[in-house]
Amino acid sequence: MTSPSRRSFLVGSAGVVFTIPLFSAACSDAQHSPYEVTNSGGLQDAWVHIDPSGAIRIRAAADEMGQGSLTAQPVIFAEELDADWNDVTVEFSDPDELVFGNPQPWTLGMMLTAGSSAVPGYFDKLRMNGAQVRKYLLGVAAKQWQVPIETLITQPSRIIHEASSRTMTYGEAAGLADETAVLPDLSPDELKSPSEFRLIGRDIPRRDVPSKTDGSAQYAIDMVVPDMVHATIVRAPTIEGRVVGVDEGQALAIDGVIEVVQLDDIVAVIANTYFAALEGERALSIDWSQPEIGGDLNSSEMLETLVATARDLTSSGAPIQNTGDIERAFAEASAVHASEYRAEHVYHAQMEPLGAVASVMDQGQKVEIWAGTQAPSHLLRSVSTELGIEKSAISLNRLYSGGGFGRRTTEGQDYILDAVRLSRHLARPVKVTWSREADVRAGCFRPMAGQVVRVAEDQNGDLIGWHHRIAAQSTLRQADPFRFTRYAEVPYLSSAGVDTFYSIPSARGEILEQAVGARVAPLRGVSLPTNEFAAESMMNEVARAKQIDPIEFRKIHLSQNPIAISVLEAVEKISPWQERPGLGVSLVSHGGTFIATVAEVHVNRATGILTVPRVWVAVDVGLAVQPGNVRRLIRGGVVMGLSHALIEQVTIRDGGVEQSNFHDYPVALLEHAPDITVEILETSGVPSAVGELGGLGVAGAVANGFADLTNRNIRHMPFLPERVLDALR
Amino acid sequence: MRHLIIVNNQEQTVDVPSHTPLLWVLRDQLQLMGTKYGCGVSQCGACTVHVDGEAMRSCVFPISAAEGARITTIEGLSPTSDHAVQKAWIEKQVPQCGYCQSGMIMAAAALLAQNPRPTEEDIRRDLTNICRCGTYSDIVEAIRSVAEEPSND
Repeated sequence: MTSPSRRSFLVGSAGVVFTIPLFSAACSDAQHSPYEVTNSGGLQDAWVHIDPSGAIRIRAAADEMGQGSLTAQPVIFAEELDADWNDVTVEFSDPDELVFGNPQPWTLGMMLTAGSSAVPGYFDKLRMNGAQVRKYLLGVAAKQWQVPIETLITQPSRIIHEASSRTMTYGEAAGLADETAVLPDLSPDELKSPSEFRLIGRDIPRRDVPSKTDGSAQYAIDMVVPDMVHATIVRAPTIEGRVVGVDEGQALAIDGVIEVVQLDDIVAVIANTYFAALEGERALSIDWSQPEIGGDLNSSEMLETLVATARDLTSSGAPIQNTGDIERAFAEASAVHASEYRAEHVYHAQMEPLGAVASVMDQGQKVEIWAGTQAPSHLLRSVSTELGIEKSAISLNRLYSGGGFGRRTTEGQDYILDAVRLSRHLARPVKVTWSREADVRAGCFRPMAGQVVRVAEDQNGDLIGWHHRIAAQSTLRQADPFRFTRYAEVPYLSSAGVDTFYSIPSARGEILEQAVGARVAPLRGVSLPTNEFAAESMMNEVARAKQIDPIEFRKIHLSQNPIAISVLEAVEKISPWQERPGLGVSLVSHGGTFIATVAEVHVNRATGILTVPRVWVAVDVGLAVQPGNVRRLIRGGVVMGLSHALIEQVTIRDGGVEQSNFHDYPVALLEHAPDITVEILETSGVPSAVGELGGLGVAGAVANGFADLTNRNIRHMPFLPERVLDALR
Repeated sequence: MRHLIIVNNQEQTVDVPSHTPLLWVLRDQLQLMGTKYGCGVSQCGACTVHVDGEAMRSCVFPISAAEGARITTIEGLSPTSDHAVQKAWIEKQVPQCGYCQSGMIMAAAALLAQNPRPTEEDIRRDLTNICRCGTYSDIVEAIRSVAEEPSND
């Protein structure tokens, strides 16, 4: 049913592009035509339903995990529809990727809420479709009134013929619509000009917020269906681990526990109440196989192996950037700077423990699922493969995600498949909720990384060579083999930040992919926070060695980057930059834009505790569809980035994750949250990525603030007290 | 074992083992889903409710200890969901993923009930719930906006 067509798209940044073969996700089981409207009790198009009463229902394709897309996407559509926002309600679209697939090429047309793309990715598509529906409604009124369509204008939710002072509401026009029709063609110059925007750029309150203040917002964990049982899951400590034996006696003795189920790589406790299942989980004793891959992984030793690999210049990795003549630059250098950087695994720690409800029916021929997911396309594919059924036999109810941060993007959709597999096994509806301990131990982490950055200077002190090498596990190979194989097996997700945007005549960035054997997944910004920590630390080290103001030094090497320069200048202006020491800066490129971060760093030299009371951020988002939301997302990202920089790390010993809950995996609390000032620039008028931006530059800015304060460098994330004390020694 | 508790001004009798945490009684027995499970070990605060007016982490609070106590959940904080803290949360658009916010709101409401004009210092010391989306600065702003209302005495 799939007929892939081969085309190409370009990916990369800083002037480096790669051609990647792309298979279009065309398939024949589309539920909507993107161009057709029907009228049976209201006008229905793929994205919108307009009731004769005037009520307008607009669908959002993206997941709602706190980033606000459930409001922002309908706002964009409503803008061009010229709808009165008070008439609009919002809902999740169904998982039909032909209509609702993410237009960003790197998603391969999937429904995938990732890479901060929900607004920039869908922006044109939503505007065009909204405007087409408006034009169709104008046509209905023109026909009804027998006037040329050009003589009609719209005001929110109404069509007006000024010459005759006639008006028709959108509801009335919808009632008059043809039974079926094709949406009219529209050229992009028929779209509104930004000066005509009434919704975009204003702060429209998020539609999900009220339900998130009274307890009524529904997440998978809150779903109850008739005849449902509860399940906890214990997953093998390693990717390829399998159940060898289970001592289930104590679990079965617990009041309310129904059954203990072994399924290859998981053991599930089935119970009448979740608490009984949780107690059952704690009472289990399980023997797991110790597979070759990851079975004896010790992360601290592995990190040293990664650093050694990055250091060994005789090996070469996948070239992500290669300009000029790097060998010659270093051979001719008068001075070379080189440093090693380390970053540990970190955990998503989304506040809703993973889980889903599934009801497999008709002897496995049909399934209904209730879940929050960033990747409905992956989910349909995984469930279809698991049950051997058509995607059309899968009914998915999309719920709010209690945090996503990339954890819900994985191709396998492990936490939802658990519910599907158990429901098939038990032949009844099952709610799976991972305990927090299971969520940590079977976490899919941001990979640890060992990096080396080298910089060559000529006799004039000009930078002539930049060489960045990262040794790490590929996030994509394991978390999303579907995309990995179609990206020609280059681990692009691990590469962001390895390709420098500074103007240096010779530059090489390479990834040395290592088979670490840990569970990994994209995590808010993927490799950028760690790779840019290394690159921006090095940029700072060179600036300091040359005794040049680190902002000035960056600007010297940004001749082709007006946006980068403008965010640096903006952050210099809003921060007390001239009041150093104790301030550090970083500059990060993501999703077509730049973010500049300044952090104020304090250090307790006795305890080694770093604190960051204030952070200033300047970013050019092109166009802020929801400006307040942009600020809040960036502030939230700063907090998460700071948490990753200062306190979070997962360690793995003998193949098992050593942490289990928030007592041994602490994350930033209110007491750690800095005062954050955000400056937003909107140069291009086209929205850029936002959701991941805030956290990307924090580690670099903090490391550089530490260097500014102490004249020492800290090169191992997170900056735990013992590492700070080491750096100070 | 049968336990009598008062939840959101209603008497409820539940038949569960005495060590069952209040959280699971609320969620599994009474279908009050606004109170969330986040860690089960009193670390994150997503399960915060009021027990006799005090903020309490219900995931480690056994039902036997709740016997006869007046328990308020997010659903009962205000009959029409317009408690000053809830209104401020909407006004400041605090929630992102929202999962921790029931607990945050309950913790903030308890703080304000005891200390109607908390300083930023007080807020930072008192609110130890985790928000992974990092809405902390909006939380502080929302609580301060309630504290500054003239009617809040």
